[in-house]
Amino acid sequence: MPDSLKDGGARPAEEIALLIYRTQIYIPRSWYSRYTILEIVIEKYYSGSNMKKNSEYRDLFPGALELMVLRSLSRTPMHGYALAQQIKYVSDALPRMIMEDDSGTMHHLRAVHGIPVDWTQLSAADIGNGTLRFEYAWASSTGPGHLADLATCRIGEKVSYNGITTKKYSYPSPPFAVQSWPNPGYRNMPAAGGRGEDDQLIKQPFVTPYISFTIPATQYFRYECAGDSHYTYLAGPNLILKSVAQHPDGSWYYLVTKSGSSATIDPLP
Amino acid sequence: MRSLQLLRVTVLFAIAVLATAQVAEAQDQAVDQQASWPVLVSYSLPKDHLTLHEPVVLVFTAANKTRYPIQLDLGQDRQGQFSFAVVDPNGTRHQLPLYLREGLSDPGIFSVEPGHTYSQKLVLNQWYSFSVPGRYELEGHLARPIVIGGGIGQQTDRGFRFTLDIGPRDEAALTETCESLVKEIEGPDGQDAADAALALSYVDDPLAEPYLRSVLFKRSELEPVLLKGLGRIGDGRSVSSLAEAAASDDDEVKEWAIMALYDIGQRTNDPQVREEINRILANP
Repeated sequence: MPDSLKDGGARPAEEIALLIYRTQIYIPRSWYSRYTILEIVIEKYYSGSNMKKNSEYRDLFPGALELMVLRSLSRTPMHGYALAQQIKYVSDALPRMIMEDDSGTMHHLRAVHGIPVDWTQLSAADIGNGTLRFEYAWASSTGPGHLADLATCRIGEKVSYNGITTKKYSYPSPPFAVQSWPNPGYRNMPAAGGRGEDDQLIKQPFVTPYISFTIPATQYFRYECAGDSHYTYLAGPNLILKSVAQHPDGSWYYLVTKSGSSATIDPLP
Repeated sequence: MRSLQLLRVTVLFAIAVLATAQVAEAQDQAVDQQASWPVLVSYSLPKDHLTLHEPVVLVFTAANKTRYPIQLDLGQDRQGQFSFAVVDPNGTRHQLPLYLREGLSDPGIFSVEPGHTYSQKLVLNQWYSFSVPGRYELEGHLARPIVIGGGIGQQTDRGFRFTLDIGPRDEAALTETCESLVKEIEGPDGQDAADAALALSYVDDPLAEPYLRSVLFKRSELEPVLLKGLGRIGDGRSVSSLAEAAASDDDEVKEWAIMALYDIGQRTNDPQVREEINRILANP
């Protein structure tokens, strides 16, 4: 077992505690005493007692391996090989940490945080039943391949019905099915996945007698990080139009359009 | 004599080496065979006997026994590609529509590395209300095939079929369930907490209201789902919690609180509650 773990010299308990606190990882105290398993894994990865020899985790931070070991063991007891596999698996998902020099002697650890950037529309398609689906992607400001740095961020949309001042907008029925939506409406999701789909749906059945009517709405995409509810806009405004209209031959159809794409139900039953 | 003993030792050693090599080869073959196993998809009901208004939770698991990464497409919010059918206690079969909701969502497409297992809970009340006691038959499968190794193979999910018994409403059982879910919500694991919050929000019973209220502001990311739960219960006691949420700085929390208050206002027969809601909505 490395001396540094035995005496706590290079990785004092305070530092591990700081790591746990800053990465929001919970580790039951009962797991701290599993040094037999720690020895197996640490010997495997460090090839001796000098922790700086480690190559696989050199780009992480001192104590990262111990943290991942403890984190893995907090879920279930494991033997050495399974634990090593689990560590390899979770290491990609952990937020990256950087060293922050403080007063020249003490090193503190700071998580690397990014913000969503490069919002991109990947595709738009009529997927049937009057649903218009968009696929979007975004990246982390910390660079390609670092989506995990968005762990504290949520990305979402804000949709407002144009010219309507009530907090709840009810679609006119007929021609639409009875439905109400918040105005404005919000949907948020974790940003670290780097991809999202936006589905523009229509509740059915439509209600007769049909009348021509268009519902206009405006959509913005935005994000917030660190749970501060301070939103920054990424894209928009996108005008969304949901219409019931009549062809010259007298038949009726539904059409939804956004960003130059559309989906339709034609004719309406 | 000594040379004979040496010969015996040498022969025994050679046999031992050969045997060890054969065992090693056999182990290699076993590992190789294991590596070519398909993806093991399974479903389970942690409780196949519930009481009325307890949430119905299904566990989906996909274990990647191949030697390649696999791609799962679970659909919108990792739920949109599960196809379910229910046979109710009267014997009527309901083919349930796929989960689909308006707006921005997680596309639900992701990879599972060789040797790893993906698991998630599905709260079936999102698809069906289970509003009467009795025996239900549940069927389901993943509608999209699992892609192996970037397209070198595909596997179709054969799905599941379970029987679920739902007994009459039982306050003791509901209390136990709510207390257990609250413990998970207050626990350390974010995913467990999210699963428990969703399940608690579908305890469609006034008994759940104080439990929802007790954890409403414990985790900001769970507030919308818990608010929706309060809105579903919709009794007068929910209003004060929702009023507090309607004054939140978080737009999403405010939205769900207001929508829940609208819904309660339309359903309630209590004029005092309706007046209180109108007052809140006039100036949230």
